[in-house]
Amino acid sequence: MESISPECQGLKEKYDKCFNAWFRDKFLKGSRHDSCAPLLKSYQQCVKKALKEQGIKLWEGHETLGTDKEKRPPKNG
Amino acid sequence: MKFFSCVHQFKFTWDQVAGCYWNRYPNPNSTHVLSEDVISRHIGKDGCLYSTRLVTKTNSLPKWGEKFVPGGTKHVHVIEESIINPKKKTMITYTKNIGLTKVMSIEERCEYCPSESNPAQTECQKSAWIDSGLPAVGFAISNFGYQRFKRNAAKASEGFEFVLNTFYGVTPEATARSAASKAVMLKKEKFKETAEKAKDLAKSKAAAVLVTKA
Repeated sequence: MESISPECQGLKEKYDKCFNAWFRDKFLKGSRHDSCAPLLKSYQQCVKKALKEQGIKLWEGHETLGTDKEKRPPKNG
Repeated sequence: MKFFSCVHQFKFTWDQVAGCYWNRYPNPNSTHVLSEDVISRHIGKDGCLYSTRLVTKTNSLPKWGEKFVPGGTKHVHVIEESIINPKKKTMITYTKNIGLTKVMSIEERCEYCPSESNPAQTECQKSAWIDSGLPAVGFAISNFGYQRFKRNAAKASEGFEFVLNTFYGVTPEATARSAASKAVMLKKEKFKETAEKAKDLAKSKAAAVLVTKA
């Protein structure tokens, strides 16, 4: 899948590849050590820069899940 | 505010569905998804994986709604948050658009867990809230959004299912289906073979008749 910025594409692909394998083979099997963190860091920096250039402000303050803002489906019965 | 909800059953285990969630784009039904990026991700003290992603989608408002969109924005940004609990086997995803929220806001919550009736399968409870803050036309817009969401909800699950099939191969049900269709094909082929034989026989008989006549 594409990144929002072509400049970050290479970093995204490297990170995604690492993450997918880690998620399936490690995280879901109980490991809590995120071995892809260094790749995520450089990828995130690239995306952060791209968003700034494109005028998209969303880095903070958009959390909904797990907060009071999260909408919940009505309970049946 | 309009509310929509549905349940979709995936014929795959929870581990397979969760493992494939990050790869569900692109699929044949996701041509409206332009990009996706990880904004933040960490493992919480509770052992859950917390992720926030930014997804860009094409903005397809009806012609009459376009005039309410400043500068005729062609795409919309969507924030997708998720919490995955590998011990309890639950995955909650929460998606909302961050641009054009006054025109139309859609918040979608999906909860994936092993199906109670069949733990080898995964149930996804999808809920969505659609709203518009525009005076006068707000009702029409949220109604449009609701209808579109309802139409696309099944398509989205089908797209995800397509990726699951590609990743993990066919499900036992699909294997049974394909075996059944193979049997039909074989029958058809046999029938064709018999038909060909009959044709050849008829031809040779006709030739024999011709030979005798000559």
